[in-house]
Amino acid sequence: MARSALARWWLLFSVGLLAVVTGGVGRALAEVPKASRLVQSDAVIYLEATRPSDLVDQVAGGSFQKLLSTIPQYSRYIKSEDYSRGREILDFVLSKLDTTWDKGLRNLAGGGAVLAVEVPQGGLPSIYLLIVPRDASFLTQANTALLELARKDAADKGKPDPVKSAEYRGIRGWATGEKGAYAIVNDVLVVGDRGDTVKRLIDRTLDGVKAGQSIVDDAAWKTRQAETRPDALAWGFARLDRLRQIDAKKFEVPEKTPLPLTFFFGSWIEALRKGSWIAASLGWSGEKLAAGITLPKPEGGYAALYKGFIPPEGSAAAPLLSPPGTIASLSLWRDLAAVWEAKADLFQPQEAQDLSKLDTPAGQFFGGSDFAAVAGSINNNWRLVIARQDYSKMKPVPDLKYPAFALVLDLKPDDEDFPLRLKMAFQSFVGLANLGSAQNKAPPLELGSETFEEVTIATTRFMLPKSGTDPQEPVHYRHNFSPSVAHVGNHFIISSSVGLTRDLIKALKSPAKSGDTTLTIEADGSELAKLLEINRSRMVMQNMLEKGQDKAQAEEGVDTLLSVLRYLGHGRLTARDGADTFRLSLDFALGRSKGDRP
Amino acid sequence: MSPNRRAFLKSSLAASTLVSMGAHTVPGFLSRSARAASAGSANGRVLVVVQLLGGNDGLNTVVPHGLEGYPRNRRALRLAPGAIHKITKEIGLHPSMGQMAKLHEDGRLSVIQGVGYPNPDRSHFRSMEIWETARVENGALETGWLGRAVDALPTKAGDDFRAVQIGTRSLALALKAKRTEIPSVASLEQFRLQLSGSDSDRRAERDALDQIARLDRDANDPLLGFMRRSTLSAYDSSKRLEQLAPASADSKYPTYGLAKRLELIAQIIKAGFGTRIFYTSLDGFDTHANQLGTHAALLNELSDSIAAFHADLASAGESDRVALMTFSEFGRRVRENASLGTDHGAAAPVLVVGPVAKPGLVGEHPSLDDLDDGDLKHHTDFRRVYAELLENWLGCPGAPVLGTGFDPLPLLRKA
Amino acid sequence: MNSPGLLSDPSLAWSPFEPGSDKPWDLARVAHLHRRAGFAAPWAVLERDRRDGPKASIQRLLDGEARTADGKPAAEFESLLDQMGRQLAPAAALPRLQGIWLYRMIFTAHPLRERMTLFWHNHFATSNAKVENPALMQRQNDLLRTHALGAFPALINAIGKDPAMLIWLDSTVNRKAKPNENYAREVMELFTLGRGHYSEKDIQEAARAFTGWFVVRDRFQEISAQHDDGEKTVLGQTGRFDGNDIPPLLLRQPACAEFLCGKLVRYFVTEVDAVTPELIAPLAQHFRDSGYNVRTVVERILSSNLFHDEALRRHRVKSPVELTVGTIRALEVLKPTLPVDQLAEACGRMGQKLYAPPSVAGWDWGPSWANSTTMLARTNFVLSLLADKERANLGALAAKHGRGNNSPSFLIDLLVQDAYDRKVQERIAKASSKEVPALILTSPEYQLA
Repeated sequence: MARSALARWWLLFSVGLLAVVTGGVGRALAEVPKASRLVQSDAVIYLEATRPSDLVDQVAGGSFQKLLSTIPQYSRYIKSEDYSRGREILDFVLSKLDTTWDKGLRNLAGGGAVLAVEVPQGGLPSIYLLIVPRDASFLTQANTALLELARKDAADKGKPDPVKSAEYRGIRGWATGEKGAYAIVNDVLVVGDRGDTVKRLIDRTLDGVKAGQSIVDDAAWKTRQAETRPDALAWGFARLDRLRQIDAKKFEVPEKTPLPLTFFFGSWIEALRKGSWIAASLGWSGEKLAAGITLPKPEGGYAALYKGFIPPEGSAAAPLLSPPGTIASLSLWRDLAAVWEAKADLFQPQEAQDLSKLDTPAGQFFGGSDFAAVAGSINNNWRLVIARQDYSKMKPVPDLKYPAFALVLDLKPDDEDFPLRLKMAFQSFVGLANLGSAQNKAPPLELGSETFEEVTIATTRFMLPKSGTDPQEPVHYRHNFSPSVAHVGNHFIISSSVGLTRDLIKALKSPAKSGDTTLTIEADGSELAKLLEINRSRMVMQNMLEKGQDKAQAEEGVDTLLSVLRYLGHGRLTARDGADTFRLSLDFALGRSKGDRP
Repeated sequence: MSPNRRAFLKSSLAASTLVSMGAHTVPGFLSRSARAASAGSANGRVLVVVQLLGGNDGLNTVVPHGLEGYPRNRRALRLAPGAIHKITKEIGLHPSMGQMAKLHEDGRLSVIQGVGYPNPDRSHFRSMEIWETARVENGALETGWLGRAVDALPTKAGDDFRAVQIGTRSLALALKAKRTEIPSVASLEQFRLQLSGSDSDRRAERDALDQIARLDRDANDPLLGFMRRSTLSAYDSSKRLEQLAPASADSKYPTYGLAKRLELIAQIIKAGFGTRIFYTSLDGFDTHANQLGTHAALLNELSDSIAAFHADLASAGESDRVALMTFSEFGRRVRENASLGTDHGAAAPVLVVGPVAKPGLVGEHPSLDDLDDGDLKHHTDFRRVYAELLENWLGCPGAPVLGTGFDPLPLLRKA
Repeated sequence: MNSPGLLSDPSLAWSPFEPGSDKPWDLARVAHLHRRAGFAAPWAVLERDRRDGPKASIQRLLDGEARTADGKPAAEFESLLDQMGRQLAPAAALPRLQGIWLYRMIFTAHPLRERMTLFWHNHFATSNAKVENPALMQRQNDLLRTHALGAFPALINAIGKDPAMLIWLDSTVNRKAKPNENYAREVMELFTLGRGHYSEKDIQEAARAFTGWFVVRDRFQEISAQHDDGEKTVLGQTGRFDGNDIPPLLLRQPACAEFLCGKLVRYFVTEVDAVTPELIAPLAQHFRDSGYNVRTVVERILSSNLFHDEALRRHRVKSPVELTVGTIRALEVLKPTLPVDQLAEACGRMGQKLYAPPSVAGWDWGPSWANSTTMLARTNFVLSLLADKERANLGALAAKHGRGNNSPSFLIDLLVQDAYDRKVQERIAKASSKEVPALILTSPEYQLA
């Protein structure tokens, strides 16, 4: 009994889930879905599938299936008992209906699907799923087939008839197991967490929903719906203020989050903390995967605490730097001085205390200034680049190949003093590091200088190993690095490798147009895959040791990782602070790399 | 295996009546009254050493605000007398050390002033080496004073580790021993039995594991008996620890890193493990620039953490058998430098918390005028402090560890 | 406890073991051989060796098998591991370095060679805590492995030039004007003769012979200008000795073979019984006669009556490495096996950090492995292994060997054979099949070898 109940729930749940994102074909966005009308205007959570058939196509599509098959957890799951039992039932039903799973889904949920959660004041929450089939008769057939299966299965086991059914206002409804009920009303499949929920929806269908009572009349919903992209497959909307009222513990964001989160996302976490709603959307077509989240700015604007996080009108993060071979690139607008000032309020006490210890090295390296003064000298644009290097040009070529890292600071326009101090600090740091490496018998860094395109680069290079070294001994990974700094216009480059410094100097000389984001991050899966492939034999050996696998298994594991990275292609995360809202977007150009492949 | 070890094994096997390992003897062996026995020597006293890395500025820790030389030498770094926690009319503790001042009021704090060694070395590395090995002469020494003490304490096979370092740093030189490897522990996890499942599952499994070891075997095999005894002792220790371990929700310790490490030490002590020496450190005292904020934060962490530790032990009735000592590789120069900080110095105070014989200041404050090249002169050799802790507290002869000529400095009451 | 009779009858003790009705070549004996000379064996190997008899089994252990524990060609595996050591050691943290050796021990087709490498690692104890150079530690390990079952003269000569060893013993500088006595002392006291078989003068003279041997920038170098070329008298012999001439002199001392054989007997035969010089003498002579060939003397030990004597069974405590690797091999946890970095840390918690023995004397073996913390670590290792269903599926293992219907009795046969007395067997029989593996693997009997 439990088995078939479990299987049935599995089936319904997965169908439901897929149905949320499957549905009709080419339904224009302006059309209000039939099912949405039934949702109350004060629904707390609303999720809708907008472009259904397309998702079935994507999931059933070759490249996605191939990707799934390379994920070891997935392969293990499809070999598991739960899956095969569920699959049995599904195949049985499909054969009864004479269809395949993807066709069946398109038929079943073709008209759209909506999942909603309503919490009346002082009442119990109700969750329900509305599925609009493309083919109403198909829905009825599927239902009959499932009921038959359940009855037969119970009879085989000598158990009583599991199907409980009742009538309400002339509509037949069925109960499935202990919880949950469903009915087919006006050619819409209504699945609810309780009989009461289903009854209420039947009422709404038969009596109609009064004007202004439905969510489609709600102003907020309408605005959010209008904002979703035309190619979105699904979108959702939740009222955070009501969720917080209902269950503070689950939905409240802690006052203070760990330092890295706060530093990067502080103001947006605040928006999440105080915002009255949140909206999200998902789009997926062929080669593009796009997701977005929108939050309103807090009522009355952000607290003064967050001054360092939001660029004022007209300011934004600097354009990304992407020299050749870039694996990842980041650009962030952050007023470090303002963040530093507010550190006691922004960060947890132990973190704030640890941060105050930065005053000491600030004084040592910047001649008596404290950290606030140093932070004040840096302008608000921060850029970070991680790039593959040209290893063939290195002397010697290190055995383990690392990427190069660089931080590009913007300086205040007329400050002549600070860039010099930065360069001095760099050289002092190198000196200190050399003293340390003498103790560890590591070679020191030789300081040098180079002029490139009329810019002076302060370079360093690890002393070359003596000739006559054991050829079998691998070249140390430190030879990946040649830390260097350069002052270009209003920018200061701090880089781990002089090659990257040169590329950045070139890139900074021809700056791209500024954008309107506060944070932009780009990453290129296939560039990363290229780097890892260069290190493949090492990765295989490390995989063997870290996972206890043999060579063949390890090679498979590494190749899987590489193909997933290549599949993910090029990804971009942007965060925009608009007039009233904050928007976070994540886009992937699947299977592509920025630049080289057409 | 050396002949000595064989002899130990034979004698320990005979002594603990393993031949008849029935239900009476085992609990007797493991009972609380045998805690002293499992500690391996006449007393169960514990020493906790907190190493302050970087060179703590003693002058701004134990502040001689009443001495004229203080405001003269410390302009920007001067601490206002009003905020200082008074020990005597002229000398008091840094404003951040309120909790430590309370310990002093309760008679649990001794401040030994002017501690150092002849011909002070101002290099971090060398001076810390001197403090950790208790040798001022040149020449590489590979064992530390606590390592040598551990080598000197009698151990039987099966005894708990005599000393433990708490934290994630690599093992301190002070704990390097010739004959044993002192473990470094970062969390309590390795002292627990990692059972899984529901509460009743875990209890059932623990009982089953215990039973297998507890059953009397027919044959008389001393080695097997020894393994049985070790296994049971281990399970028992783990159980004691779990019974005592507080839920982290109602931990009364502040969230500082040092507090967490001291909390772990307190748990191990309360669970009755035979470990005698605990060692941990706090980093960040090398304040060459912008000292005020950093130093205040560090002393706050130090003071609050030690106070919480002491309160924890006191509530478990263990505070009279635990002594805690803080030390640093040197103090700092009397005159502040131009970067609102201080540079490496020499003599400094050592704090001792526990059942002290004479709470308050021990020894005079070094003169602020009669200086050794700008640094305070020491009048108490640090090895006298070590000698007191070794001989009169831990019950370990001082001469093999420190050499001769260091009279123990009377510090602690022996309860 | 009465010492077994054989311990006081040297000639009978070292005579070759012949199976008979009172001392059959049964499962318990086979398992004992593999526990002592390898890292425990899986069921198929136990069955095979039981059928093939003691001589063939011992030869296989001495020579190594053709395939690894998971069926791959042995030579390929060993060269892959050599490459792994070379490439990964320089930048490796200590657990990673330890892990590489543990990985090798788990799969190797020649477990006896790894046991001997471990023996020499303990004998020539060198710790990375002082050397601080994983690449050098790996190279020393490779050196020990090359000579593990080979000629001791070659090994003792090579170790004197091993950079890790010289760094460890503060012997990186040895000038003509001020000879460095450290290595000379340790090579006599710890590596060949033991205390009392040489004089201070011998050490001083031998130190003069070693002058000119330096370690410069982690490489061994002979600087002839610094070599004292004069005549020296060491252990009764006079000549213009240099460093290469000292080992043969040491080997000429009767004490040398006795010292080494004493250690071998404690490693392979018993850690708790008294071992007399009379017992060691014939073995030592055999060692000398073979030209100090390690394989020969180990073969003698493994084939002897003394080794196979039932009364000496389980008179050793499994070291952490034997416990962990042995359990993994016996339970065939190979596809995949445990992540070896974690395994290395587990062995560390049990008191054995490979490449970091606590002192020049190596580890304290025998009962010293056991205290509250280390015993807890052993139990926790077993519990976490058994909780890892992906790796350890004991029901399937029993079924694979045709004993699926009674896996508790299969596990007892595989892991402890005849060690349990009646009461313990009854208690295990009462336990649920879920509990049985943990009960066996944490039992005191299983900790013994």
